[in-house]
Amino acid sequence: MGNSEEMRDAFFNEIVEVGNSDDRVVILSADHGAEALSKFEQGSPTRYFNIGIAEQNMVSVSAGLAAFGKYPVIYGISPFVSLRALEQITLDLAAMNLPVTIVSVGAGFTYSTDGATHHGLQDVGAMMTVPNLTILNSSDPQNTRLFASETLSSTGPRYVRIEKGPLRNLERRNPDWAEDGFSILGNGQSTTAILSTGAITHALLEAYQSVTSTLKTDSLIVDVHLLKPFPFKKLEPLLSDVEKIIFVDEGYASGAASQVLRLAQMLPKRPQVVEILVEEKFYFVGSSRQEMRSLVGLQPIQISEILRLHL
Amino acid sequence: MNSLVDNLVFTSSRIRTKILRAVFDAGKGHLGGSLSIVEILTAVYFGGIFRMNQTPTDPRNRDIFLLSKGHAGIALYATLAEAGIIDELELGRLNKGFLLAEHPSHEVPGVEFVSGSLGHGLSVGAGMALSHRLDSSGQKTIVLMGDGECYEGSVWEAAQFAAHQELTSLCAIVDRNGLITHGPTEDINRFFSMKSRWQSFGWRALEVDAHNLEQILRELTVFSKLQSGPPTVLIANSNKGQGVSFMSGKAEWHHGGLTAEQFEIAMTEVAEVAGG
Repeated sequence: MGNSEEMRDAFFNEIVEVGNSDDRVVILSADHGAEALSKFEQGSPTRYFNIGIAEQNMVSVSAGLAAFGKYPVIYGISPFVSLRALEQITLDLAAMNLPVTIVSVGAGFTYSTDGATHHGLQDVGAMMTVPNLTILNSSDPQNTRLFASETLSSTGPRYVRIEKGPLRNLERRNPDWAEDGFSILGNGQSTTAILSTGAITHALLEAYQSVTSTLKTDSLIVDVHLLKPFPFKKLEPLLSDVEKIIFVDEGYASGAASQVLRLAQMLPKRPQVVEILVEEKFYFVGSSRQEMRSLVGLQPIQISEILRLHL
Repeated sequence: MNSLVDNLVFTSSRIRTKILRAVFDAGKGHLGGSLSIVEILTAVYFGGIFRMNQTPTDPRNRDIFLLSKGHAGIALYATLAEAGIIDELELGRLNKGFLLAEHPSHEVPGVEFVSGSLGHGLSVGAGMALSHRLDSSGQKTIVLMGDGECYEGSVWEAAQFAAHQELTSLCAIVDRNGLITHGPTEDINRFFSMKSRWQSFGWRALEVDAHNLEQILRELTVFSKLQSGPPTVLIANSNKGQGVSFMSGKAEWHHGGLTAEQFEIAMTEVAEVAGG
């Protein structure tokens, strides 16, 4: 991983930079840390609040701050900041359309060994139901930094999923990826396209490479970071000739996959959608993220088997 | 203060008549918990203590009132109409496909924040008070809650936070009418002492008679001059359905409609209070 970077650092180093240059940035944490945040706390103690383990209060306090011109960045673990505070996000942030950045760490099986209470499999599906909310899913340091850098230009609430641990930068083929809402990682002409979102994109690429070493195929591969509003209009022309979409996500079907199904309905050839997802159930297992992915069929070798069937 | 109080008694009476008429016209509404907060609203909006008539485009030059007990929206609308912030005609259109629903939204002029789901307003108010402190703007934030609302756990997350942050400019008012939809709070799920509960969370807690304008004005004035120390909570001991004899202290008037005969009696009684 030559150019890999710790993902929380990628996000918070950028946030700290934004926050240091504009005193409207206020950071709230539900007793959750990151190295860069400690620096911000030391440099700007009046604009950093560890609010304790009280996510509902954190969300509504951020709404009050944003109502008077602040740009709060609030930080917690995925299921708690999303599901526990869902009504606060819906009414206090989204109904009021306030520019609060919700930073959610713990996508998929990030907190694998912590067990089912800490898995981030349901959050995107829940957030999908919230009007006015933007959902952004990070897959590499580059898009993670982008989400942080856009804090002051946001006009409504954002739910930003950031990763934990190092990931390398993806190689993008579309220079306007930031505006597009997705990154083209392979622009082949095959009638099967592969879509993915989040850190699992790296596993997908590994799987795809192993398949193409023996199978001659050239697919369009797209990592979608803007999950809501889903970039239907920009994806449609890319996928107009596609007959099959393979979609990979370390989450339940209620999440990003719901948007991929809508997308397929809009396309002229009504492509079949092959989903490589996490089966909707509770995983009462204490295991590493790799082992959890193995358990649900999301290891590169398992993904490659499905790719082989469909490419 | 006495002439002010005398005037405000009339103001309260006018607000009550507006509430009754709007609910009569709409066919139903949250009467009990609206009538119990009329003196509080009157003191906040017309007591000369807070800057309540500023436009929303003037964010640093006004004080903030949040109706966290959103089901009393009609009481807020009647107050806003009395203050000339919304047109009185709007009250007659309550629940009829226009701007006013039973629970208020920020799209209504003069309404700072959407409410209707209980247990949000105190956290939002704490965030606003924090923002005002960061801006050194000197603005005050008043959050009116129901006592039944205090069953929500998020209220206590907010209470703990506001006290820890010493949000002096934040004043919570608890409409302690003692009744929720299905009966007395102390029979259904006891609060014990509401005052000592807030004190134990680190608040400056005081009890007032929710229908005594002089007391409310006095305590709001004291609050408005505080420069440091914990946030303030006024436990406003009130009477659900205040001002109308057949609603007074009756849980069944939490929500409902009025017959023409009931409406006439209620309007007469409310007018008599002002006359006396």
